[in-house]
Amino acid sequence: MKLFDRFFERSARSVAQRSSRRGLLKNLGVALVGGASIPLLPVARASQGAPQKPVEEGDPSSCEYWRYCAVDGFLCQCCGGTYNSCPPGTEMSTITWIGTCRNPVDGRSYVISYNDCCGVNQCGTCLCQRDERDRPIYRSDKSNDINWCLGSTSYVYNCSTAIVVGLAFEE
Amino acid sequence: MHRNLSARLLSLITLFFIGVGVVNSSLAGDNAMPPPLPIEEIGRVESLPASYPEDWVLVDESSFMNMYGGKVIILDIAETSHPKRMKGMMSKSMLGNFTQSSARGEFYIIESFHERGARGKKFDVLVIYDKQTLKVIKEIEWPTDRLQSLPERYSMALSEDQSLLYVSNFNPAASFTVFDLDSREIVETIGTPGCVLTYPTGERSVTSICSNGGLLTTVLDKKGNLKARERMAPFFDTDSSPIFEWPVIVNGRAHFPSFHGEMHVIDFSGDVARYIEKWSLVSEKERQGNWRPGGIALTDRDDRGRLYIIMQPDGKEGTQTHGGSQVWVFDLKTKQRLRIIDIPNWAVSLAVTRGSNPKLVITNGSMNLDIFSANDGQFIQTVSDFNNITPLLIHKSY
Repeated sequence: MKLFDRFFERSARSVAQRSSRRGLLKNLGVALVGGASIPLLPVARASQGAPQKPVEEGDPSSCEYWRYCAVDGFLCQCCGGTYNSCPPGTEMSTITWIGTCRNPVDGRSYVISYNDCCGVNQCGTCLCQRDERDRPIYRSDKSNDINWCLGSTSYVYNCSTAIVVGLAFEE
Repeated sequence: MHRNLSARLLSLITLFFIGVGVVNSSLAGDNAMPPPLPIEEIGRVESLPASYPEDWVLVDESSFMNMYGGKVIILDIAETSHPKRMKGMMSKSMLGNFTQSSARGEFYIIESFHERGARGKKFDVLVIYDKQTLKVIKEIEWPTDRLQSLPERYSMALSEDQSLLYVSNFNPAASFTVFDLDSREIVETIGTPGCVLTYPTGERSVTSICSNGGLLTTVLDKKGNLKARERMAPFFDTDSSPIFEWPVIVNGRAHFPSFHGEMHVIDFSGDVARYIEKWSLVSEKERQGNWRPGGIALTDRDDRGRLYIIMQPDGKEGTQTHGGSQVWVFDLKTKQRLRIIDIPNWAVSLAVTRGSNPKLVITNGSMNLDIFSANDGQFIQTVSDFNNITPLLIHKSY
């Protein structure tokens, strides 16, 4: 049982109806290889010899996707953006909170920046709350309860991204 | 001129009596016909009592799916007739914050607007409402960025004598603004580096909770200006043993539950916050079952000072805000658990109403309100269909 059960169920069902894991993996592969603006994951730089490509898998429109371990909000992947880009007509927040999520494929922990996309209105679908290592607002750097559109032209929250910004220190 | 008026008046009176005659003759032919409805006044608006009944609550509806549509909804949660439950509402735009004065008959909402919907200059406005008419008494444009987050019980607070209002700011530098409720003027905005929220302390102090696991008390002078700052050494680790920012305050003692089930007790009765002790909400066996506190607004108290807290089994990192399946009731003096109330539809937030027969109000997993008798845990009814989207914080009424 989770918070916003009703929303979760609704989101999960609609995502399941729309997407196939294989199709998403294929699209994700294209995005990672072909997207010049998307930084290569650190695993690619660290590896020697084959395989050269960084690896991750999963459905970025699913709340279970590995990068969303500390997220609380609408997934931009369902809102006209992607897991690391904002929908048209919005702007990405310049300040935000971070989480540390483990990529199940390479076993590494990554620092994830959950930049909000701001403007227009609330996206209103694919609500996802995971909250791993999320902290109350006294740890603002780790808190997803704050409206992080506070540094943007528009303070109106639209959706949340999950951007890899580095490898985490090993615990 | 006079002659014309008299003639018109005479003709009007004649017409009236002819009309009455027609109506009377038609009625005379049908004895079952009731008398006509009286003429009604246009422009009537209801008002509310100066003292709200104990079973009324104020629902802080953050409206997460449409934040322009946030509101505070006044509900009688004991009323069994749906059309009679809602008593009124106030708007609360873009995750606005709410608090109230039990002595002044006023509500306070700080909210935000852009000039043109989601575009244009952003304004933060403090709005003072009359609790009987729900009309705006005064609006004050805010000089800085107020805290915008999911609802917090202590994002605003009043001084002990209810003459000063403390309002949390965050941009992301943290501060609070002191507002004089008598003069209706801002006194001062005071920085609280690394510390947020406004827990009222003593007569004229404000305690905030800090990113290093300690507390900062800001001591004010009589007028509400900064007098001194005192920092309390860290008493928890924000990574490994974090606390919820939702204490219950009884007789000046604030009880802060931790993620793992410890209760930290802080004395807020003096000028400066002082650490007293910690004790455990869970037994060793319950700890092994990972029984933990969990939820959004997960704590409240009744008039007798008993603690109500949402608990979850199999808790782990990441489930701390997801709610739970039970409410545990504690006597804070003896630190003994008095009762376990099973919550059939899950509990995300809770509140307890005033009086000797308090009601336990639960925001359930479907974002409706489940109402229980707080004294014996008996389920009373589910309250739904009141324009509820995400009613994550419920306030008592006064």
